[in-house]
Amino acid sequence: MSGTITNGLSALLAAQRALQTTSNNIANANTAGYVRQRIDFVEQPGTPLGRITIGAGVAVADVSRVYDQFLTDNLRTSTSMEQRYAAFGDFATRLDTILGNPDTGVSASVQRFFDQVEAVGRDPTSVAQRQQLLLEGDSLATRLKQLDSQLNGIGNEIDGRLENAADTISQLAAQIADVNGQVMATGGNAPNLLDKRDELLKALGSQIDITTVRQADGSVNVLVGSGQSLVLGSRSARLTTVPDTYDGSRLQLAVDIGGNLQNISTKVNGGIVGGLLAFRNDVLDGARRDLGQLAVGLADTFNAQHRQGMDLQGNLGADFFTTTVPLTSAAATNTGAAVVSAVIADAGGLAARDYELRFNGSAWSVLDSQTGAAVPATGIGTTANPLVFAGLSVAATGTAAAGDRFLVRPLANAATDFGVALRAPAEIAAAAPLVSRVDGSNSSQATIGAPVVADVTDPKLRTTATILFDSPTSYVVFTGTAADLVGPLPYTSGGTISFAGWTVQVSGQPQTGDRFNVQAAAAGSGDNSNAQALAAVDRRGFFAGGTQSITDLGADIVATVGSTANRASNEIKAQQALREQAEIDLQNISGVNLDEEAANMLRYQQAYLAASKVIGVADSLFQNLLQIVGR
Amino acid sequence: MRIASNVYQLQWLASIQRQQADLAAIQDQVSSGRRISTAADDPAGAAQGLLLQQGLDRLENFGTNAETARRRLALEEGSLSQATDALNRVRELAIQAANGTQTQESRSAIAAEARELLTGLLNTANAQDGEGRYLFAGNLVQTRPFVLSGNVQYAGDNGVRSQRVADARTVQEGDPGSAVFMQIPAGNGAYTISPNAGNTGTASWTSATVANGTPFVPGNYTLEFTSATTWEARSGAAVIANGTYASGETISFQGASIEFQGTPAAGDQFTVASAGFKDVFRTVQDFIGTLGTGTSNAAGRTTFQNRLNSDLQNLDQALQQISNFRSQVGARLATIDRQLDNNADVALELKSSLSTIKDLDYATAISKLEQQLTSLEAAQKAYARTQSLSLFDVL
Repeated sequence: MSGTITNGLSALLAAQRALQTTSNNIANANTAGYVRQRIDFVEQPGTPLGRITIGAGVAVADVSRVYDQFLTDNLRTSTSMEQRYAAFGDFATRLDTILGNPDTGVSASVQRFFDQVEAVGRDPTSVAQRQQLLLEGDSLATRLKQLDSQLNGIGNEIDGRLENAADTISQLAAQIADVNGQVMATGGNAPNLLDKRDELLKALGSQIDITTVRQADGSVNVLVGSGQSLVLGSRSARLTTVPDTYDGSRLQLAVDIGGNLQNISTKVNGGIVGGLLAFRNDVLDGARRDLGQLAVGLADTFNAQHRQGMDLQGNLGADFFTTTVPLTSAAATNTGAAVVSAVIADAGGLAARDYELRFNGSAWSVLDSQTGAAVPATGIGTTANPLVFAGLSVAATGTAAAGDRFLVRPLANAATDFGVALRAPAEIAAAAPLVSRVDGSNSSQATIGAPVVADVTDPKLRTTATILFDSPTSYVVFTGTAADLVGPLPYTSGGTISFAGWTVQVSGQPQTGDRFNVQAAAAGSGDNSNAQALAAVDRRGFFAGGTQSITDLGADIVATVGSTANRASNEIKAQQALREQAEIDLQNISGVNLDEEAANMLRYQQAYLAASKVIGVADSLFQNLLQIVGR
Repeated sequence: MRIASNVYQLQWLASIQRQQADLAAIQDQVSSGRRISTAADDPAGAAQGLLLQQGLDRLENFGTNAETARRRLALEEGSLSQATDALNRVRELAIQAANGTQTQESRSAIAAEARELLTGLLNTANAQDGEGRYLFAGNLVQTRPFVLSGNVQYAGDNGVRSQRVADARTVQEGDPGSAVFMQIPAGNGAYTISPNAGNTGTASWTSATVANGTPFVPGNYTLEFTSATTWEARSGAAVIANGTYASGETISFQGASIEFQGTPAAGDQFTVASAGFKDVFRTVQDFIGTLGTGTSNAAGRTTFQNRLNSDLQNLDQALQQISNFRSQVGARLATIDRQLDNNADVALELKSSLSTIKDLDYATAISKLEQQLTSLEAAQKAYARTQSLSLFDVL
């Protein structure tokens, strides 16, 4: 009889526990990170009665979390990657809006400028058109500066976000270490603590990619970067930002392990931080360099053509645009006293890259700072024999120590340094600098073409030169200075005659004594030949070994930022789908199904009622027995 | 398979969000009419569109350039036509003056008219465009090109300006005054004939041509009538040709064929020299000078006739020259028209390519939009239905 009551009581208690577990599951159905719990029953050992054993009721064996480590880790990793691409994509989209809009991007401004060059060519003596060209040049420079400062602003924002992320990561690490401590204290048997720790690990993973290592004592160690411990048992390290070794204004991530700062920026791949760093290194820096390359290339080609012309005042053209000087910076760790300076030797040879210079105690080596690949260079890095590579000429003064490093960023300031150098409309060199004349007293009808400038730097370029035919088949060229006399040289009709930096063609049958002059064009010339040449500069092959024009580069910039944003948005979609699937997979194991809980509730309710009935039956049996005995 | 209750919501939410994002994108396209609003929508298309757009801009520039050139060429054509009229009138006057019935007085009247015409010609050559730039000054557009001081001097240069009307085609939009008015071949273009001032006979040349197939050998020759019926041609002191002569016969040497009328005196000389240039003003001035030649005696009449012959030759050269330039101007205008037609064709093609890249295909977009709306609605209904199912409802 007492066995029946005990059995009934154990069943009653078990059903009660089961109902509690079910109700806890129902209560936490919507709690983030909650892992459903399952109650497991076990039979009580029975009482042996000779050959038979009578059962002794039920007991609760365990309330366990329905949990899958692999799915949990999978969700954390996929969340980490999703956050990486979300952060990357956010910025890629913003960059696309800034540079990728066909109507407001840099190409539109460049086009407007060249349209105005064309207008000056149409009416080369019009001061109004020239003034307008200076204004268009200014607005192109302003546009480049604006774009560059917008990109710079994005860089600053990334720095800010890195700082925030470092704080968040440090806090999360501290909390995980704290939970680790509590878990160790409870012997690893506290479902709510384990749920909480998984949530914290997921939150940490969405900030930065982590590796977790489970310990026998129930704690989880967390590693970041190339294996730096962020959480070790109940202790945690701090993540912090440190200034870049070359550029103090940009921040890098470092783990602070007992005051020893270890830069992990290049090792981070996932999470928001991974996305921010990847965007900054792979996209933002590249976009700024591309913009800089456009500025340098445009300034250089336009200036070179402009110098070939003559302005309204009769002077040879000066530089139209101001251009940049490469930025060099020494690593903070350098011990030598060397100062490195760089100049652009050949703007067409510039690539949109940054370079690292390393000194090994005797010689310099040049590396691509993004890829680390060696860049072939000539020269030894002295002022007399500078290092020459990729359109740059670099020299060091002072003594470098072995291990010293320098960063050369040829295009870092290019967009901000770009500006209009000319101040007066009359200084625009639209005309050709030389004219030719047929002497009025010539006895033949021979003609002379327009002189072509071959070398604008020739000191006697604009000295009036006379081509005199000393016979119908030969000529001499002379200026006022006897020493300049050239010839007599044989003449063929249409043949090229070269003199002080120019060439010209005389055609026809000149007679002895015929003269032709090549001389400086007069001030106020209405010639437009240099303006026409200037208007075609944007389509002339210049970059990449003369295969890429300014227009092509502009289109390239648009295509690059566009495809980056496009790829990022596809990646986000893919990662989102992966994360959703990981979440569903996990939920399907660990999440609460309310129908299941309702069914369980009914089951346990029935079990409870049945157990009550068992006690009731035992009780009435006992009462009956008492009545019989008491009678 | 076991499904957690909140998975329904998770899945539904994710799908709804995706559909709403797609819907927003299509809606944006439909409302802007553009397939590409930033490069991310189609990076390659955006870059290509940029290049096409620049091509279109360039064509527009070419169009404006062509209109500018056309305007200036029309001005040049007007001036050249005025010059032609003036020179034709001078030529008429020359023919008139040649008439033997003219007196000294009537020739003075002709000279007066010729002087007026010369002034008019000078003004035409100094014509300016609407902005005060000289048409015939070469590139020295702010310098008055033709200045009369005794002779007419050219103060411009021989620069020519052209406008780009297509990537590989420029059209010259003017001609320097030096080429139009100054560098006019003298004589018949190959050589000139000038009588010696001391000639006493009555021989005058009536036509001077270049013999067929034998070009004039450039040089400076003296043609001397050694008697009334014989002649010799000398280059320096060397005799290079000789022959007999009768009035109306043609004398040929070194490629020159010259017909003479009248009777030369022994020792009469004519200089036959390679032709240089003679400017149109000088030609008219010479004509005015010729009109002043005394014709009271036979020698004077012969001189008058010889000089008038030269003047007529030079006038014809000038008319020929200006007519050449007029036909060049016409050819350039025709080139511009042809090129503009060409450019319009290219522009049409570029525009249609650009539109294919940039513009939205509304039919496709709207049907996509409908599809999105339908599937969004379906997802909402499905969610409402599944969410209403719960065992707790029936407990």
